[in-house]
Amino acid sequence: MSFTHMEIKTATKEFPYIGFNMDACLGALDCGKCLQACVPHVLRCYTPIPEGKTTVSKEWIPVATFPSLCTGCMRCVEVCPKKGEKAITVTFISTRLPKKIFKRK
Amino acid sequence: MCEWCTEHGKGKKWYLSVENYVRNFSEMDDWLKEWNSNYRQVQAKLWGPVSAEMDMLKNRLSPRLEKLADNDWEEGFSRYHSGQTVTLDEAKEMCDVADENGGFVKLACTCRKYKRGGKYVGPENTYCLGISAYTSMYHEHPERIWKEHKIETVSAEEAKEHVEKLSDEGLCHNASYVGSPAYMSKLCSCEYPVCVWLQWRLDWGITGILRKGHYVAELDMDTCNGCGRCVEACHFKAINMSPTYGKAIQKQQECFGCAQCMRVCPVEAIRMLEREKIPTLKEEW
Ligand code: SF4
Ligand code: SF4
Ligand code: SF4
Ligand code: SF4
Repeated sequence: MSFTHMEIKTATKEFPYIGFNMDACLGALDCGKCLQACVPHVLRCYTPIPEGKTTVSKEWIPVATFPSLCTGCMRCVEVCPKKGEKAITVTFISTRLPKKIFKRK
Repeated sequence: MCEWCTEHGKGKKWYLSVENYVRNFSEMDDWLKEWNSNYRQVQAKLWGPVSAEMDMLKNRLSPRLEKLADNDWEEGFSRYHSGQTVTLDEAKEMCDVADENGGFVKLACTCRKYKRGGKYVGPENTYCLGISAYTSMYHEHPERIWKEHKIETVSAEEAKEHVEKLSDEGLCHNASYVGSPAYMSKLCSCEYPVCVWLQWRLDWGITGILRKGHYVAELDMDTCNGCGRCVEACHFKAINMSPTYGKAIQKQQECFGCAQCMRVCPVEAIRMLEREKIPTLKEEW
């Protein structure tokens, strides 16, 4: 018996949206607690200011580079000293992703 | 053999070719101008929000669009900063070549700082060895280097001890360049997922950021005693333990040839083969 056709359906998946509020955030160089709390290394920091010009923490911006690896454990939000001011928030967006289904005739 | 060796190594390994060590930082003017004029865009793309969008693309869009995004990324990385996995022996050979062409600096790792923030900028974060173009930048333009990099110059002996110590700790080594393979810049000691190269290559499959090395490990299941040390040593998910056989099983297609598994194996069940001599893997970089 063999597979004769394939259907592509969509399946709903929760996709994380990890947002930062840089007005409240202390900056990733001095603080960086969220980066250190994340087990799958979803988060990282970067600076848009040219090299050699800044060691100012505020200019080191945390960002979620690998949201697809995020499990939604919320550790990053819990350790944030500025969580009251929502320096980091994790919300979930329902997205419809394509899913392949193989069928036998 | 890929174009890095054919174009920049005269058919031999590019990271052991002396001509890639002798050029210094001041020859990189054009590249630097481009880098500086695009600094924000490059940072946003390689490390920042655009990079996050790439992850979204990978997870949501059609294969056709994914392919387009990939090409852009491949080129982006290989034009800025990229590298290839090397074994510890090759790393030491690199130290010999670098010793005669500019020497070494030891510095704190940028990947670890970018991944973990302020906690990882001190001397305990000293993983990278700067060579060639990086050493010349340190001597000629110290103002360009982050203060927290905690740079110090080291001798060839110290450099070799340093890579060996990191290898014993379980890190694998990568040779890296800036701009093009003609400008050797660092000898990295990496791990997954802390080092961005490994994460990008393994999670997104971008070959422009890190290429597989010139060797492939071969595991002899008859000799293996199933201790599992090689599984712990492999950062590339190329070995697992099989409960059925009570031994390690290897997937050579996934192997990057870092030789860490060979170093930890107590019964010498693993040997390194040359990639060139394996018919189906010789063009797998
Ligand atoms: S929710 Fe958990 S996995 Fe997701 S970014 Fe935060 S710490 Fe990492
Ligand atoms: S833990 Fe909070 S304050 Fe600290 S870097 Fe992360 S978002 Fe900013
Ligand atoms: S199988 Fe061995 S040589 Fe290959 S990537 Fe893993 S540790 Fe390195
Ligand atoms: S380290 Fe050697 S003996 Fe131990 S599981 Fe791996 S191959 Fe087998």
